[in-house]
Amino acid sequence: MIIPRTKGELTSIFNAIWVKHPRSEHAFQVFDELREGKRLSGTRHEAVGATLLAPSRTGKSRTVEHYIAKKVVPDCVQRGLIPEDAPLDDQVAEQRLVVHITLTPPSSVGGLMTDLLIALGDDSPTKGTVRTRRHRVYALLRKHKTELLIIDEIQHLGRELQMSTQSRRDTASTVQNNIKTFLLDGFPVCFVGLPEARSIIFGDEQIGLRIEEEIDFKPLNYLDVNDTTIVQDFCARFAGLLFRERVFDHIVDLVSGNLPECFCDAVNGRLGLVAELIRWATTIAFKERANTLTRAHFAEAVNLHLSTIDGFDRNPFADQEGEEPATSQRPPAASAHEFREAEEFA
Amino acid sequence: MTATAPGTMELKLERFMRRRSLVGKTLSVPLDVHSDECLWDLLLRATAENGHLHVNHVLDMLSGNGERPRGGYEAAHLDTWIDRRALRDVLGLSSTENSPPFEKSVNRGVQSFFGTTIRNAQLSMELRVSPLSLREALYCRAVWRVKSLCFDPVTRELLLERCPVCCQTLSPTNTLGLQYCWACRFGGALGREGYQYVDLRDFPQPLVEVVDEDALNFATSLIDPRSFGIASPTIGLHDDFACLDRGEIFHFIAVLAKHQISFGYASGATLPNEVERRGTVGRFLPPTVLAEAARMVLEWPLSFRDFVSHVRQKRPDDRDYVSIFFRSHGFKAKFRDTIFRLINDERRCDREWRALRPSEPLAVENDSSFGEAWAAVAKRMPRAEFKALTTFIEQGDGRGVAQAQVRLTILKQKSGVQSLANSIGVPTYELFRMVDQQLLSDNIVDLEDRMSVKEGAQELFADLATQSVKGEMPERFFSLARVVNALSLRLEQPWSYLLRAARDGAFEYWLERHRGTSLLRSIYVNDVTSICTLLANAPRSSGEWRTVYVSNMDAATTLCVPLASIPDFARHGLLTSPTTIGVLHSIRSRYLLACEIPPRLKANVSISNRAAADRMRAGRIAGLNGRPLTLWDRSQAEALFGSEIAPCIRD
Repeated sequence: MIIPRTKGELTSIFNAIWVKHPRSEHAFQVFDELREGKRLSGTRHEAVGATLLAPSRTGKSRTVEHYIAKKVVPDCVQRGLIPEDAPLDDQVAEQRLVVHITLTPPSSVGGLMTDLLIALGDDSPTKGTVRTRRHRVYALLRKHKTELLIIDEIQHLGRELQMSTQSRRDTASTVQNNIKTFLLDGFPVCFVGLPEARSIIFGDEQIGLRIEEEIDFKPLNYLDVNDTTIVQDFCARFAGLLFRERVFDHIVDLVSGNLPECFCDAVNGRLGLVAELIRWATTIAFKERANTLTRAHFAEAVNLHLSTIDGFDRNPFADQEGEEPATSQRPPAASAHEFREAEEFA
Repeated sequence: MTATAPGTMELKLERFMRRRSLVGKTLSVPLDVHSDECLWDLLLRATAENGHLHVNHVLDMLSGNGERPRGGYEAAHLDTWIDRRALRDVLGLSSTENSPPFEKSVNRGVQSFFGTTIRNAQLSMELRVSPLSLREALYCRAVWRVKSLCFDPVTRELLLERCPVCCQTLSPTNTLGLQYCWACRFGGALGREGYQYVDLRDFPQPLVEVVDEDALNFATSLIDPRSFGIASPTIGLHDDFACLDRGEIFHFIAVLAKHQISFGYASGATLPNEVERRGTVGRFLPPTVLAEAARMVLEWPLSFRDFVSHVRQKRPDDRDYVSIFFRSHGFKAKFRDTIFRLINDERRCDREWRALRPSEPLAVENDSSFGEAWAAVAKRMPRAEFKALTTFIEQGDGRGVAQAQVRLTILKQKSGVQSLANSIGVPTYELFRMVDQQLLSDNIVDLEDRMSVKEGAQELFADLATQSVKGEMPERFFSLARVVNALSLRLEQPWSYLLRAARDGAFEYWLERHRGTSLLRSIYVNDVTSICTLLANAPRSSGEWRTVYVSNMDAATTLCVPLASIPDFARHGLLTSPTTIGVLHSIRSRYLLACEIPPRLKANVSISNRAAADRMRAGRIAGLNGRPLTLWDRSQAEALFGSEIAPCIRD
């Protein structure tokens, strides 16, 4: 039978689910390398940067958030910077080793500094001139021994750089220059944003030449052998986590038949959207009081949520009606091992 | 800092959660208070570490962005309006540990200072830093605010008060970081590259050196919060100081030092060139003068009397010369009375002495019977001195005054005698024998001759320098002072005999002089065996000096320990101050120091003092713990090492 849940409860469960995949692992490794480089070299060396550019809903921001919660916070605890037994949210808010800010439009240098000061826990982030605020940002970055700056939604800057108004263009390029000085002053920066932001990062020689690693987060292509494995693993792990969270009584089969391919196809290869699609399907299943997820649920979810959006007009679940995914008491053989691993990590 | 006591984690969690609840009202970087950091310096450091530019920002936060009283800058006034709880919240201090010391006004013009008191006027509002100390730990020590000190007591570095690049004074309210000069911002490169600022740590200052290191240490330990945990330096001081706390004694030393300069009494009143170049001579006391003033307190009251009589000779018409000074410095009434009494005594005695003076010569030096000698001394001596001498002797076992005592006491009235003895590295009573051995000229012990004898040993130094071996020092070497201390256990140590042997070339030695190091400690020998032979042939002690009382300085030299450890001996009940040479000898017969072991070891074996101490500790030898010296039971220790070490030569 189905354990009754509210929609809100479901949302929170899905928010908490994190499925690791080779791409996020690679991103973690790049972040670790950047931080180690900063730790080991003195203050007077220039730093290198990285980019994490991909279309919307590929899981960029989730990757960063998860990295901070699962990797940076334990580091802080180990160094004695924050206590071990505090709530995770507070720990994340108090850690200063990785400063993660989201660029808010319209961008301005003052806004950038204020965002950084808030992330660094300053007492009065809006006070002072731009120069004094910048002084404070640097003092705090040094004092807290910050190892990595992650600047999210960097594409805002790109849009502004191409605007018609001269003054907006000037402001945007000042912000760009300010970000550049962080690199020159030895703080590694990771730029996160939509692919269109590539032009502003690599359009500026000084930034572009300092980018050492472009983390690959582009949409998956099911025809590529590597990508196939990624999607299949992702689905298997997701099924395991759904079972662990007791969303359904039985293990939901997300891997048999051509289901992984359908997932990949329906969402144009964006892993974050796969998770979202499963959530939508679950909500529909709950409304119907069904005790498992079926192909029909996925088809309906695609119809409801995706078909109206440009570029998502296919519904592969509807194309191949007739192959009902079977529910089983035991997890699929392929995912037993993965299930354990996923549990460890979460 | 990260102790693993069981309660620490909860405390840490509590502090963390409190900070979380105070976002926007607390500074980003939580601070830990250093034990010798005063409140104002703490606020300045909080400003600097959080990247704020003016200390007003932190003051505003402390006042809850409300009204702050005018004059809130005065360190003494901070306690009138700053709330302790607000301070903890804003600076992110933990609730229990390390609450910062508040300077509070105690009386008019006086405020508390780490458990003692200090005069407001002694605390400077200017920022002065020691670059070497900043390299070690980035905070300002409270003792740098004490105006009378122009150096850091720990590193001995002259304090930097002006930026070496732009020559502006260091700002006490604006800051780019404690290590940077505020004025040198290079036209507004504010913020970005910290390394464009002038880093004061790149400008180490000259170190202060004085002859009488012990006295200077004594003076700084009175006021430096760092040394407050250790045994109080006021143990063993004269009873006149019992009514003063250590801060007041320091203030007295500072006042004395100022007078010494103004009356031209201080001998080495020259500052290192660096300070003179900076043109700050008038504002700070030269360390040498401070040391001399401290010595005066250590040798109270005879030394003070000497000073008073000097002042009168300089200013014969000025009736109230010294009194005026002391009246205006706000000492306690009781202590002021003591000083006035000493001054009045001196004046009266002087009058009597003048009346006597033209007639008779001094009768001590010839072979007159003891009674006559004493009478002659009594008549000749100013009464305060005589009284002091009598109490000095009566404090002992009540036996009569030895002639040697009288000679010694009179000798010590001469100016420069103590410095001369210090520079040679012997107690003052040894000077008599040095004259006997013709190492020093006669006029040093000539009690009629009032000339200063400070430079009396130049000839001896020159002779020893020509006789010494030039060239590389051998691998294993010990200073002569150490060898004598280790190998000879006589009532009267044969220092002069050995110095004479050295001058006559009886053994080979190397001479390496450093400022502030005595002659005996600058002579290095390699062949300990030859010294042994010499020591065995040295004349036996006469016993004449056994009951003579000596000052703490002489006691320290006799025991071969620093002056600062004499209070330790007193604390263990081994001696009372002043003490006799006999007592000192018995202490040495019962105990030895770890540093005596290495010179006594057979040749080609060398171990460090620490290794020797470790071995004795492992051998479970009884010892008396002291700081920094540990005394070990002599008989047990010698039994432990057995035939490994050469025997001591006794009387």
